Amino acid sequence: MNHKLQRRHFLKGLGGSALFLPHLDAMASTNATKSIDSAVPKRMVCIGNNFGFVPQLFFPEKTGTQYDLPDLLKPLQDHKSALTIFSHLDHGPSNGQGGHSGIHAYLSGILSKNSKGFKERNISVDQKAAELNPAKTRFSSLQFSSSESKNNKLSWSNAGVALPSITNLNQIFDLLFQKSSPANKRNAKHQLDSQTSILDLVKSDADRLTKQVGKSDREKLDRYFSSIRSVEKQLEQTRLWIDHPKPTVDYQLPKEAANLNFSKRVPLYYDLIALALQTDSTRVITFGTGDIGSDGGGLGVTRGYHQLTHHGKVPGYIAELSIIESFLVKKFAGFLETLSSIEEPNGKTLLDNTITLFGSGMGNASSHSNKRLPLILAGGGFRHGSHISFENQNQRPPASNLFVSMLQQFGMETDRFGQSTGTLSGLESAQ
Amino acid sequence: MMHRYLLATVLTIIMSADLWAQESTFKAGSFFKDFCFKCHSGSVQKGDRQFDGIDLTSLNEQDLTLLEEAINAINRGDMPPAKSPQPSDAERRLFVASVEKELKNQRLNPAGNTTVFRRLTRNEYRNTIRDLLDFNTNAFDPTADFPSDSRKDGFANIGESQVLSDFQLKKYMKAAQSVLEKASYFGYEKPDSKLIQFKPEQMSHKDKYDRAPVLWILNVDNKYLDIGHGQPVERHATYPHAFSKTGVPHDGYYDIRVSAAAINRLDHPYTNKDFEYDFRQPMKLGMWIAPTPDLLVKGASEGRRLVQIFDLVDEETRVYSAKVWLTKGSTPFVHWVNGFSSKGTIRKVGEKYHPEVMRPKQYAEDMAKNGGVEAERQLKERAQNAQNRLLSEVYDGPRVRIFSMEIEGPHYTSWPPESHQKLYGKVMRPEDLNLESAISRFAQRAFRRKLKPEEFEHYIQFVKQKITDGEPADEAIRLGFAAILTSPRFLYLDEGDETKDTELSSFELASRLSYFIWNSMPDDQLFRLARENRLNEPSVIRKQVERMLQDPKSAVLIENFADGWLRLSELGSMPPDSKTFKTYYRHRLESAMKQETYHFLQDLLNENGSIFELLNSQYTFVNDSLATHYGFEGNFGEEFQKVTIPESLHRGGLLGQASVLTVTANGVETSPVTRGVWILENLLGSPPSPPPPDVEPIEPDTRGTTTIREQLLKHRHVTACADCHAKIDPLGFALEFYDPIGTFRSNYPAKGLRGKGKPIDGTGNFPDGDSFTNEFELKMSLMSRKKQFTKTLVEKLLVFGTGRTVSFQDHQEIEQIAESIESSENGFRDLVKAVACSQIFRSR
Repeated sequence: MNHKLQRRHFLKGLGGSALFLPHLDAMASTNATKSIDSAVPKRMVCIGNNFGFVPQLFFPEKTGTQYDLPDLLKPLQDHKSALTIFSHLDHGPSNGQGGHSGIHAYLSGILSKNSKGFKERNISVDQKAAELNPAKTRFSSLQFSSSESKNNKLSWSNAGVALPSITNLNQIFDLLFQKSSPANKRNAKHQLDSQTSILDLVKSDADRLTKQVGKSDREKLDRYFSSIRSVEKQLEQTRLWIDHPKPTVDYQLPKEAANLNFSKRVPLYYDLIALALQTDSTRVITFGTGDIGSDGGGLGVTRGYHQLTHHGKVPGYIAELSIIESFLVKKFAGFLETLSSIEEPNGKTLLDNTITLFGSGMGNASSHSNKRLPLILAGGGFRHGSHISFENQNQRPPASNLFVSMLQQFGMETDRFGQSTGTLSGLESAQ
Repeated sequence: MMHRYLLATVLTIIMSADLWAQESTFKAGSFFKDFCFKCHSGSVQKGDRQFDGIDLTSLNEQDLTLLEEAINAINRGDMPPAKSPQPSDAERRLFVASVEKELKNQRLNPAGNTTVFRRLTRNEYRNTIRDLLDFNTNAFDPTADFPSDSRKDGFANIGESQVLSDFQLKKYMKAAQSVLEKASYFGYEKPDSKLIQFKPEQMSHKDKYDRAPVLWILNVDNKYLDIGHGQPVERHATYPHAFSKTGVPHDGYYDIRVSAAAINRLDHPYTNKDFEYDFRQPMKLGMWIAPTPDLLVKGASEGRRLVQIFDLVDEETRVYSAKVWLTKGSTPFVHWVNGFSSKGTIRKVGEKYHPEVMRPKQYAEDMAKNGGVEAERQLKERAQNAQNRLLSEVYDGPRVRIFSMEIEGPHYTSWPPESHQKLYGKVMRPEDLNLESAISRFAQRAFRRKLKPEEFEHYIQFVKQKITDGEPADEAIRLGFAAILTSPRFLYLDEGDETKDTELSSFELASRLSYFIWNSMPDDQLFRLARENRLNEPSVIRKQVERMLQDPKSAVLIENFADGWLRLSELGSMPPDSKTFKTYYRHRLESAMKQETYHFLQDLLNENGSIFELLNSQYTFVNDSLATHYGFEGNFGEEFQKVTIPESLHRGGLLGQASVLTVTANGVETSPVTRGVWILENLLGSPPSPPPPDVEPIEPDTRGTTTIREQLLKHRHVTACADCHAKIDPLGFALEFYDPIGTFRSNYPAKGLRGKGKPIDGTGNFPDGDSFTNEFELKMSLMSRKKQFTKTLVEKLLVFGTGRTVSFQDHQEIEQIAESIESSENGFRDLVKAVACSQIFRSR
């Protein structure tokens, strides 16, 4: 396939993955296949959109392995054996309400306002994954989005705070690949020292306050202390990586990339995500595809995205909406193609090593329902190839069970996440 | 020994041991049995509520909420419902009082009754930095990349629901460091002021365009620039190009002067209909600051700073000027705020009136190369135009004319600038600074209280140590100050230990007052009163509040309160559809809508107007955009003015304001449910409970056959939904006369069909039977519930002022406050003062 060849070529131009994965390379010299295999890290990418997909267009009719992709998902045909579609899976009744303000529970299963009783608040699955070996890569996780959206916040910290995403493509590129001068490095180190000493100093104020205030105030101060500890760790990680040069890549963003329309920008984010994973700059990424913009995003639709989701069953609106949705599916398919064309030191493809989730916290935008979420899981070493429906199960598992399976596959020893009741039945690791 | 009692039994026992026992005829338990159990016990659990089986000896969080809700509902008269047997007023009062008293005795909800350690909100942080350092936060906003505040019931300052993350903490550190660097002027010489003038050619090199316009800023003989198009968020700014590479050389005040005129608005060779423009509006010049050059390119918007929007005088050259604090590197730019679109309007005018000059479009050339037949025809037809003049040379439509731009500065009102003096006095060499006194002064102001030496000693030691270690003195001092601004003692409002004493100390009260009225730290006078321990008397508080309200800093009281109470902070979170609601963007309605509500409330506060004007009023505030939006006759400009509302416009009160009507819609459609809930929560103080979890939301069908009313009625056949929706939906039905951006309408739009949709039916009624047929009658019904509204407003002000939610224990005083302002004609200013003097406000 032409496209595939081009991809291979473009990625080969990067100079070969060994260059970018120094510790992996060192591991490879032991020549023991098994240890190489375990040394190649798992990655996790979670992609989410604001408005979900029209359920009638998204979910396949048949279940099991002998199912046909509906028209909307046809672009994924080449990767059908490398992905699983779930239906009748969501975050359950207590988080099934909220409409637009329920979307942000996509990767956590817990609404921000309900998160108070949970130890790690409404932490999202990517942030949980990022807790595994955070210092092994320059960035313990990264968050991108095609535009900032109040509702479509994917990543949430264990303090119950939404992490902001970077939308500017040039900024993402610089963050990943822009080299810094020796003077910049010196400044950065000095800045780290300064901040570390500030934190030392304010701790004593916090200590003093703890003795003066009431019980519920002390809980707030505990939060302050844990934030300090967490910042200290992050400063330490930054310090570790300052002298480690950023990887060199043979890739250039088009001119004025940040000002291009939606449809031109989306594939560029996917390029940068693939590069970030390939160069092991980070192992955990979320990507929110936001609104298409008031210019129709270059997709030739005549109405706004949000307005189209309120299609009120008018066929013309659904037709226009499906142009946007099928664009999103196509670009995701392109991303899977890229990942599957990159070989890794363990002989597998980058897709095999990347747990890739595509979906939304919105189940049906037309009725503002957060139930029956559209969810596709690809790659990452699972046994894929089927459409798993939970419709006829007496006790439908919460979607958080999928997150537990993802976390285990990622290498985390955990059997719970948020409101989970276990791993997701029917989803197995391919070993 | 622990016994498990059922509520009914326990309450009876309590009653007999209590003072109420003298009224032996009354039994709280039997009240529950007589009036509540029918619908809320055993397997019947209407509204998901069940009252039998609550163990009063060990009430948990849930029981407590349940009992509180019950008392509230009974208090309001919402329960028992109208169709059921009713208790007498005396029975009602007795019951509520006895349950309240018992709950109070047990001190069941300490957190609900005291303010939890609250952190400065984004706005509070910014304003505090402004006042602490005498620092211009308009020019440099340290909170620009802070995460947004989490809100409870609309308010951002509720300590209990605030969250802090490592991410935020890092932002605090960085903000402190960059603000201090900008505020310090060690080693600086006062720069000389310079006058720089820019001629047209320095702002545009183009004197014509050989193609149809995409960009229309023409330099005409270096005499003036003609700007032919524009938009609220400008893609093609007009600014001095070479200058912008470096911008202004220093931080400081600059005078920006632009000489400009509006040309041909009133008279042009085309017809007004050719333009998508409201010709009653004056042409407007926007003056902005781009703090960095990258904010001048098209596509940029975040980070630009609006200075002012000027109404241009027609056909007359005037100088439009502003004095602004600019940060080094900034460049001012101007644009035609309410201009036409270049492709959509000017090209059309060209095609219609000047066909002889139209050149083929670029894409036609491209397509012709690839064999496009239609494109080829167009190319051929227009080839003969190649020698004619260009559209830009013959076009004579309305446009903004700029003759010159001047920047003069930097100016300073003192040297060193105020921010430096606040930190270091007049000392200009860091080694000359008395560290002890500088740090002690700064820490006491930053922590908003008198400190013992050991409370700031470690900061002094730290700075000294850094200097000994070789850090430059000024950097070491700044680092110490940055630590002070990262300390929890600065970031949180420390209000002491409520288990020791519930009354706020005088310093704590000073802060509570200043954050209430100013959204910022106390000033010198409040600190002095606190030091002298004179703040805790109502008469002193009343005087201080009056003084504080007269200070321009108090303008943010209304903004922050309205953003919380009326949820205006959410305006724009579901942006109206840009295709259907073009004027929302073209006329900058979002900001105008907010401004109307702010002006309305501010006026009420200034004039001590009756709070019932909020329910219905004969007047409101509009500027030209909003006047057009509402259909007011006459000419208006950018500035807001008070206007009397003709009845035909269906405005008046909060429910007639587009801000409220827009924030209760989702940008595409209206929802009677959302609007009904908004009224219950914010005007009547009786929020409905959230929907039961297992009900499928309705999927709207707008193919034109059913209305939202009909679809909602279906919902109400489901018993689980019916009880609440019978209260919610009718209120929203009356507001269906307003579309998602608050335009009045009599019919629904016809989606998918041509012509008008179904007519609006605004009929509805309150649970007590009070009925209405439209928005006006709804407002009249609300006017008959004044007491409920007053109490709601008191409650909201208290929540905003104290940073905590109120509970049943506060009801008595809330009622007293509500009654007290009845005697002063329900004046809003009196109400604010009454709230500030209340025991609730002065307690932890």
